[in-house]
Amino acid sequence: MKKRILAAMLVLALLVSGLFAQGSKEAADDGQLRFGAAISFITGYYSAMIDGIYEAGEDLGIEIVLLNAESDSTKQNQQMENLIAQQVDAIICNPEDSVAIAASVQKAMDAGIPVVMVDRIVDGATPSKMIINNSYDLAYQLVEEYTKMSDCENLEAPLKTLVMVGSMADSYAVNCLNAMRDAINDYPEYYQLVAEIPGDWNQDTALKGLQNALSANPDIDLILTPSDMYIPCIESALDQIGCWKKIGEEGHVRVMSMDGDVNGLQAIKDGYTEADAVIDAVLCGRWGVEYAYNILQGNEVEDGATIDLPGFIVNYQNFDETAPNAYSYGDLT
Amino acid sequence: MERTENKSLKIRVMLDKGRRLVMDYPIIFFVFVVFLFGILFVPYFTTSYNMKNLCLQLCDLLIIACGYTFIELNAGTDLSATSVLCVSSVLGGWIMALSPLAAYPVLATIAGIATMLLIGLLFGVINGFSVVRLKMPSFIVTMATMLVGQAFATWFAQVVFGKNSIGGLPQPFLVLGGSGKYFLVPVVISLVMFFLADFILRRTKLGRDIYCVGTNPNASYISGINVKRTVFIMFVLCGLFAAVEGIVLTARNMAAMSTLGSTMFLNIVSAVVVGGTSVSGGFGGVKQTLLGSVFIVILNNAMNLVGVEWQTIMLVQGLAILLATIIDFMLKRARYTTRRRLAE
Amino acid sequence: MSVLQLKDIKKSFFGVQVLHGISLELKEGEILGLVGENGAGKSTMMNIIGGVLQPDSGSMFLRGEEYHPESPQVATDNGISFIHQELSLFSNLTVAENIYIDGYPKGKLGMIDKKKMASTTEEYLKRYHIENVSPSTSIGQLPMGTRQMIEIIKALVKNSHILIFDEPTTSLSNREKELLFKTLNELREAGYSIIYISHILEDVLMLSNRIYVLRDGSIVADGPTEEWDRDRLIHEMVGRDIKQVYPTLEKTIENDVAFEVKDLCCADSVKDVNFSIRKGEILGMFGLMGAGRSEVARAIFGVDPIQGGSVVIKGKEYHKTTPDLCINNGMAFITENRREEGLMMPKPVNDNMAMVMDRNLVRKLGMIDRAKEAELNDKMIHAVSVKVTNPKTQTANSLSGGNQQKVVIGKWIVTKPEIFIVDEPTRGVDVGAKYEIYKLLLRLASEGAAILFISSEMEELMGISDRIVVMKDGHLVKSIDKPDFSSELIGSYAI
Repeated sequence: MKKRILAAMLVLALLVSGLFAQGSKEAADDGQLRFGAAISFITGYYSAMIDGIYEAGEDLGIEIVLLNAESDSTKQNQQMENLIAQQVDAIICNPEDSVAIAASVQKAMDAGIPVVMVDRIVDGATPSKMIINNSYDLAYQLVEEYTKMSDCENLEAPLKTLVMVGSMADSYAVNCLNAMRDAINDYPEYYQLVAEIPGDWNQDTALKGLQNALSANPDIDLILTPSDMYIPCIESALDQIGCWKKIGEEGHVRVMSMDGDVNGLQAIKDGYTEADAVIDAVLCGRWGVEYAYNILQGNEVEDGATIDLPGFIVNYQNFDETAPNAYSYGDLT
Repeated sequence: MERTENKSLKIRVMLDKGRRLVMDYPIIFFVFVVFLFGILFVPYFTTSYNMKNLCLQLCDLLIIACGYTFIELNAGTDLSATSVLCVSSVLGGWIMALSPLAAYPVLATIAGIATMLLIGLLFGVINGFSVVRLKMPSFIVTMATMLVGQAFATWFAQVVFGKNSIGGLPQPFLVLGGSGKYFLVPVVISLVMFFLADFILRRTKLGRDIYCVGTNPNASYISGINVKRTVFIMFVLCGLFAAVEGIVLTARNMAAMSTLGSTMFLNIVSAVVVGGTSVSGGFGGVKQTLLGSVFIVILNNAMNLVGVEWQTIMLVQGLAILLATIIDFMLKRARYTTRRRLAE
Repeated sequence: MSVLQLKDIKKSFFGVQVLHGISLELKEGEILGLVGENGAGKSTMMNIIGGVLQPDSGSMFLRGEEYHPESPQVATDNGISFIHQELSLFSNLTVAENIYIDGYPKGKLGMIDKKKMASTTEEYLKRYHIENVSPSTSIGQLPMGTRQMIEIIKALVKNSHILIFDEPTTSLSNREKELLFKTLNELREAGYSIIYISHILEDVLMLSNRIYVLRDGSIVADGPTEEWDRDRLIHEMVGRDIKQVYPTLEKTIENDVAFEVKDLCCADSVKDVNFSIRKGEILGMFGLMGAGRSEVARAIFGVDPIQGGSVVIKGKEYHKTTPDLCINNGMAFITENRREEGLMMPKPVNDNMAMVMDRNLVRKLGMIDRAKEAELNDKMIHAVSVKVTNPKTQTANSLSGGNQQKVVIGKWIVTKPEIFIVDEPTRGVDVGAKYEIYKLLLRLASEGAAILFISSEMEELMGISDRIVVMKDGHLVKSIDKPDFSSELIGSYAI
């Protein structure tokens, strides 16, 4: 009993002293802008996007507070709450779960903090802006364009195709999947869908799924992936069955991916994969910051509009012309 | 001669009392330190918005940690506690947002909550039965139920929702999540659950039995305690508390999520272990878990506000667990070795 | 030539003196017989010689040199081998593998030299006339007697010169026994030194050169075997201990049978046991280790499952029991192992006291009536006179053995049971506390309780009981009434 009273008194004392201390503990308002960046998890693509965020921040003199949710949507909500508590001037948000983040986005908007979504949408709240690549169109384009390449002249049979999937929480992944399915459907002479591999944006899961699919279907012709983060898994799985070969070599399995990060482009450059749909991750990050800045300056409206992020296809034939435009080109060996 | 003897006796008794306070609540010191640190050095820590956050984030952890305390008191494991979260979330969410009941918000809310509690009960019963009757080790059983639960939640969400999570939950339910002016609701819920757990442990026969069984199941059995029933109830309680947590978290996130809780396990066990409940069973309680949860929440919150990288946060949390385990080990040795009697 | 010498070895556990200063000498080429009751300190002494325990004081000498084994490995390295009652062989491995389990001979490149193993093993098997066994026979296929021989060979291969046998013949047939004795004699001729511990006095008399008698932690008598006979041995083992005084209390034994056991069978350890206890009666149960006494108690109380027969409690017959059932019927069970089964060692005295009584203190909502609990705790602590300053915080660990036992008793008598089963209640308890425990039990009996008092100390049984039953090999072989109490008589049935 006694120790409980003691404990309660101590807590009370601390709270009281805390209230008195409150005034001086807020960061001095020196006119410097602070933006919060809530990122879902780190991949090559998102790494580049974060670079873009920091770059824009530097250019505009904005301090960036980066929080990584590590694929945990509950944690991300808590991180959003913490950002709001810190009274950041704007939030650049890349949600782990587009639906679950809605509550936090709304809270931030209600607190007067503009929220710009980057690379993924929010479903259930209206943010200031959304910087999204229309992954449906891009993915469809990727599959469609390939049919026109020389590789697909004189096909004896439609290419047996594996489609890898991202996470079903992610509108981008869902769009890619739908686009790939539709494109395969629209070009039955060229493609035959054999299996879809759920990867959940996790390399372990993707690798295992891929290995299983390859055991069941050893004579696969083509693997489609919505992100270059799966390239290492593909390499590993194909290598296991002796099919990680360059174009033209015996046993080569065709691979086409999206993102345009170092892994993806390097694989094309080295001759192992056919094409990569580059989405400018760095630009995405930059625009996130720039649009938020412009909103604060009054140059932009908060209308929840979607800003299209451009994308283009790099393939092994047009590599030298198109690749230099990719953000990761400078990092290739 | 007698007076000095009395004095030294008094000092020894006092030291014994002090030692006991630390032994029962070793975490108290650290909680104060981290709280003080927050107040003095962390910007925005003491704003009312952040204090509200702290309370709500505490609710996110406390309820399920209290439930897990029951398991820890028996030196057991319940890996499926987190799966109760996601399964109850998707099923409850479906009932409240997509089923025919969705048209009647209040009814849907009640049905949803009832379903979620039933899920917790189901997990608890399955776990308890397997451990007690089938005599399987709790680690294996709960790992199995965890995997099945997680797989089910993922499958259900993909098939029924088409994506990992859905919103559109009825307003009466969202009240439980504490948005806006209902901020106190989840706080009250957590406190109720906390006091319930504390009540059970300290004042009921079941609580006594839990401590006895956790300390020495053989002696408990011979003394007439129904060991099997006690262990069974522990699992059921854990499941139920997890279900309540599922309700609060789903409401807080305003979304039924199939990924709910998947990364929480470490935090739950940390809260319980760092709080002071012994991993070897028989010692500890929910008051300790409260302290442990407070510690973890404040630590996370403070480090986030200061802008510490997530890797460092994990490092600090890991060190905290290590320290707590060492202290627990030392305490265990102190408890189990014979000490010279204080006075005859 | 003295091979092993113990000088004034003392050892205590938790404040209770177990060895009071043992001095002993083992010569080369002799078999030394060691006899004593359970609890006399034989295993403690052997564990000290074998490096498992460290003595509190005293010294040991191996061939004149100081010998302080810090671990069993040191003892083995010094040429001391144990052959325990439960053999330490691996039944899934072969003879040769078991013999060399502590160190396989290495050949070139560090690989195991299987040939050497086989040939040496073969040699020994021949030498000790072990038929139908080859080095590659699996141990699991061999009978007990042969396995024991393998254990001996294992010791010899390790170059042990001192072999200590602990109750070696319990699982042997007569033929195997003869073979063992032949081997022991051969070893003695060859200069080995053997300590032979057994309760089969005829064997000890036949085999040994000298005999030591251990009682209550002291060597009470020793001498060459010629000077001993069976009666004298028993007399010394059991003794008339003037130190212990047994309280007396006037009480009447009623005619009502409180408790009866009919044809009780449990696994292999309890076979068709029958007895009954009347109200106010203290029934003593004697027997040697392994005779099945504790097993009877555990079966009655439902700790081990009853496989045959029944228990009649206050007139009602039960073919299956659980502790819960027994407690509800007014029974109490004070086990022989308070550390593992009687107390929660790291918990305070009060928590321990409340273990059984709490079932009666449940009020609304499952709450415990804490006021009443505290009251009863206090009452009990005084009733059994447990010496403790702060029962709320002082753990059971910190009490002396006697006080611990009193807490166990206190915990049980709170609910005022009418039938008590107490198993070795004074084990590890000092003299003063022992007396108080006897007093308690007598008082309970005088108030009408029926008590089954299991013990391996004959004097205390004779001092307290109204009747004594003797267990041997799972059977209840004899019931002896008070007028006929005598240690020789009781001992003769047990052995």
